[in-house]
Amino acid sequence: MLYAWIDKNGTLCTTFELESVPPEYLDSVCIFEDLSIHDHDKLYVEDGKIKIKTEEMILQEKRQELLTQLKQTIYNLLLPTDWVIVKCAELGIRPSDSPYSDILEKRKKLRQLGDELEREIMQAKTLSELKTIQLKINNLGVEAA
Amino acid sequence: MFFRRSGMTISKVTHVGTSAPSDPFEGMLWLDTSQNTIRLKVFRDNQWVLPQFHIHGHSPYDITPQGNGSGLNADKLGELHASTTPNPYTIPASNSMGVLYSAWFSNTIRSFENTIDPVAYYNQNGQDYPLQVGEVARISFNNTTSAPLRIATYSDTEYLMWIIPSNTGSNSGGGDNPIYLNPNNTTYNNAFVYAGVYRNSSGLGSSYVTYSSFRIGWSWSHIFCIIRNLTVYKNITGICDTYRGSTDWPALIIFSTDWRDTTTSWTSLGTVVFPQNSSGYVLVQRIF
Repeated sequence: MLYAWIDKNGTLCTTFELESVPPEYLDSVCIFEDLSIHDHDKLYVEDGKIKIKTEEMILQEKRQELLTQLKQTIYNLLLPTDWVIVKCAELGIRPSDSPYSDILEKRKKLRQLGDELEREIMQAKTLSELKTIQLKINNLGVEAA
Repeated sequence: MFFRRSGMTISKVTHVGTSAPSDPFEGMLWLDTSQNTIRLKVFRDNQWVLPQFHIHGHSPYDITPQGNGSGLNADKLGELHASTTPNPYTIPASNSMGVLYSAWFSNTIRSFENTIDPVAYYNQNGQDYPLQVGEVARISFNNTTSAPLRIATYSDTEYLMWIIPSNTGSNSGGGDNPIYLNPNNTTYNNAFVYAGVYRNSSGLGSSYVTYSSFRIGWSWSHIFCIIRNLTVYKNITGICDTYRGSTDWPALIIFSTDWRDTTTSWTSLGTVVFPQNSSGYVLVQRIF
């Protein structure tokens, strides 16, 4: 059970128990019997009314969340070896001619993994598929090591 | 009052007046009303003296404050004694520190020695426990995804909170989602901003994300945090170890979450929400 209301600031609020609904909102509270304490993100407000998001809306939000997480993860994993690129640029040598080929190969592989995961995210049709992709993103650091 | 004396002679045993009776005898009483303070006197050894009362063989000077042996029962109220030690049918008295021993409270509320069980208090009274400065509340949670703290709070208070898990450490199996504290047992859409720095096996990273309640941990975490409740500034700052994830076990997170609403009152400390079934304890100490 999830109780939802819009407070004086226009904020969508939810709680799992009627006792926690402020008295001034008891008359306007909406009850969602099939939702739980974890489902706040499944609701949204449109035209002043509280509605349940469609599956496609939830999927799209999850896609966006994973794309942000993927971008951040790739950035974090590349950061420790950025000095190789800087050093090559400073010395005026082509990275491929430098003695850091193993590092460069890892960076290339990481970018390829990132591109591959981005495609998978965009093509995913279910939350279950996206959760599997999320696990892969979490494991990127282990694979890249 | 009259009594028979010397055969057939009847005399007063008590005289009431502003002057002494003209025919006193040994043991006679006189209620002297000549002064504002009325005194009972006794005629002894040819003079009027103030009588010395003895109760159960004790003079007034011998009667202890507790009334032991006095027969006055001065320590009783409604036939019940007072004591600092809990006993059946006994009136509670504070100890030398000016507080009541926790044992005076019912077994459910004091189920954790020297800590408060606010959930038991809530179940008995239907309202949150008003945690006092210095008191520690202890909340048990067992294989659940939510743990209501049932602690009342108000503006200009501060707390320390520990989340002490008992789940097994692992590099897999954790729910890849945050642990939240929902203030007032409520979510407020996108009203919270989380800033965090973390170090896991992937490296160093950071987050700056909007949520609908306080994010205080991730997956399964051992958490310590400081809670500030001032209506115009509400914050939780803390550190935690996340110990169930592919890149965790351990993962160090330092975080701060602001509730960016400066008008809504925080009246109930709230509910801890886990991303998967979790077990352990929450300790909350009010420090201000």
